Amino acid sequence: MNMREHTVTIGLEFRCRLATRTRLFSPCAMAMSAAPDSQVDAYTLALPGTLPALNRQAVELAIRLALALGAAIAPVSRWVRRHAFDPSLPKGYQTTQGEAPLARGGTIEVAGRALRLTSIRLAEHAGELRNGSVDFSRAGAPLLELAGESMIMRAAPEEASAYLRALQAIVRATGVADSDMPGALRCDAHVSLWPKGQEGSGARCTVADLGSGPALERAIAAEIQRQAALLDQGLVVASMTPEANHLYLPEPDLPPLRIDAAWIERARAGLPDPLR
Amino acid sequence: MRAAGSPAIMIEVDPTPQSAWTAWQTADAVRRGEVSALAMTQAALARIAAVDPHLHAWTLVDEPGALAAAREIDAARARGASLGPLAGVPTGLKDNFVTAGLETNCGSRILQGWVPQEDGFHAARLRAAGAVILGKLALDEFGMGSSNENTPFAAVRNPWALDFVPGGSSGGSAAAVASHTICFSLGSDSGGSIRQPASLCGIVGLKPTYGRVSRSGLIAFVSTLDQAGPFTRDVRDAALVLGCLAGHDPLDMNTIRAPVPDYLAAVARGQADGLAGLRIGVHHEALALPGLDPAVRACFEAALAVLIAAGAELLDVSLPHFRHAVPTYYALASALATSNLARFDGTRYGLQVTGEDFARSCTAARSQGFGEEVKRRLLLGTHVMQARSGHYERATRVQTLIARDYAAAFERCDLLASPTTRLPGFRLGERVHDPVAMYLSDIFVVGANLAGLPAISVPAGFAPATDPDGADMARPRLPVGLHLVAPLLAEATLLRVAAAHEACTAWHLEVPPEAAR
Repeated sequence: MNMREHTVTIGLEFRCRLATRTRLFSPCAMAMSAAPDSQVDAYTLALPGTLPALNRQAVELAIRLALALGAAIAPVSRWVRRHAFDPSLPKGYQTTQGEAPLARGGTIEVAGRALRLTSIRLAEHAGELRNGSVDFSRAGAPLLELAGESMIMRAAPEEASAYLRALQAIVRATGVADSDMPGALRCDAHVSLWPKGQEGSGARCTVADLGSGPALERAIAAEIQRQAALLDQGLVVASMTPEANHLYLPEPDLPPLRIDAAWIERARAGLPDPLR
Repeated sequence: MRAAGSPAIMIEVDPTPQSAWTAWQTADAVRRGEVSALAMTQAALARIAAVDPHLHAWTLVDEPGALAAAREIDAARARGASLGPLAGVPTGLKDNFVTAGLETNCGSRILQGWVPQEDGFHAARLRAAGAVILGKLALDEFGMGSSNENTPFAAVRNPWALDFVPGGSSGGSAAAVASHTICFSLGSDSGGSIRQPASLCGIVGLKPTYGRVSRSGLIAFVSTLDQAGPFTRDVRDAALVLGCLAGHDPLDMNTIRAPVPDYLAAVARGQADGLAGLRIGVHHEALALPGLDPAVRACFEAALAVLIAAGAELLDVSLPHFRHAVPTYYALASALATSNLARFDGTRYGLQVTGEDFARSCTAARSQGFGEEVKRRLLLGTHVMQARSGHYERATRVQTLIARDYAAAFERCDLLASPTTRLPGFRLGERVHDPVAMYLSDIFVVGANLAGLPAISVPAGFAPATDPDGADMARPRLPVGLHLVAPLLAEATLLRVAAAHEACTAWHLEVPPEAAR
């Protein structure tokens, strides 16, 4: 195994749980106590007849972080339903944003290199599976999903974790997430290797849901080793990314999200001076 | 034309007079103390017991709850509290409205046994207005149907002829009002589900503008088209109930922030002032399509003559994309139903089947819980939702074209008129095995849903039932509806014209044989 013979391409995606008191689509407060489901409302449990009502504070925090990263806020963004039969998705779908995200562009900068962001989307947190049952205490929490461009990383694991730490610092400075809470900022890395100097590109494999720089580094290093070993033996790397075969539908219960200049300025006012 | 005599006198003359009262007559009598809410409720419960075994309109009757609610109204009156606009008026809700403490199963086994803890928007508004909720009314499963036969429970009968369907999907809501068990009911209309059964049962059915009435607490079927609205026996009641429901609701982000006009004033204006200067558009191309029953057409022509006599002017309009409305509706309806019914996975409420894992228990619950028509639509909807099929996107584009057709027509006229249905109702079982024929019965009504427009069906005469091919069957006299469509938020125009028509006709005063029992 010799990883210097391979070009390593990594696409990073971050999920930031915004520090709102209530959920993205219901005025129900997030449960902080240990009692599971103690404060879960009818919308979060997907009881029939319930409808989403957008939490404007979540939108404001999302705008604030997007501005701090230099992203362009879309005047109109749209919601979609991303379908999957899964016990963690009580509605049978996740309400998120699709082709028309909240913001595009922006960068995370590290020692002279920049990770360019392609899209920034608002979405709702799923329920969490614990010992065979679903914990809805954080279900429906607002998530900001930040997708970065795939880029060749020469010092792959360290460089990737540097971007995560840089984003953590911005999140802390902007105050949009409770960065002391475990799981407030998570990261997926789509890793692909290809022999240097050869035509073509490698299959993408994802290491998912990593919550700290060291964990991300370890996962990426292990994945690089795994793929390099396969390639060195002349074997094919099978693509392993989260199943992309979802059904989507425009979310009929939410009008398009319109963000005017005044709203952007209000959000900007929430940023500390150096980030405005 | 209407006998507006004092309700107090009617009590002495007729042993069961209350059943003939409208909601506004009832509320007036209760407010004046001429009758108690309790007496009205007891009379309605007695009528349900006498009539409903023949009709099966009610899926649940909450006698203790209704009597307690009625006693509260009477107590409020006794202590001098002001009473709401529907004080003491007996009512029922289609079983896709969420009601606290009353099982709400949407006509589906998959939700059987689900008892909501809180009222949805509609039940809460009705209770706040003083209405007494007697129970829940039958429907096609999840609102999917035009005959009320798509149900694991008893199919509802038409009070005018028991072998005939009441229409659907709000068939129970229509039959309960037509048979005089209650003054008014609530239904929902995604593709004609209020107006078609109102027509088949000979009563008034109003679908408001999309977004005029909240959908919070209405179990979603076609989220972009669903609207709640009233079934009543006269136009004034439709205005009264709409006034209690209309307005912005923070729980439904699609509700419109427009002021709610005085609908009762619009009705009074139509009754008193006629329709001078009003232009009514008729889409003659649609009337020329095969399948329009000649007797239904004759009723429609007579209704137009009434409107002309009241001062309206007729003109021919064009709706170029009219023939695409039914397929567009079924594409959108199937996809949104597939999406909205995804939450019924058998883990949190209703039918629960324990399997080895989530996938198996979910599959088992959905296989056992959904009926044949629901499964048909879920399969269609899954196909429509496939991005590569492009069907959903295309259907929304055709929907836009249809809405533009209506907008262009309304530049030339104030209102559109047509029959509500092509035939005067059909027999139970007649179309069960021909879903496409069933879907086409929506041809005059789905356009208003696709364009989000307010529309109403009002009684406009009677026609003999059609004879199925080769069968020599009795041809009972069945009601026929006049269908009116108005521009966005122009419910007042709709009610004004409907009231003018009603003031010059007596069709709404006819009583079906099942109500005369």
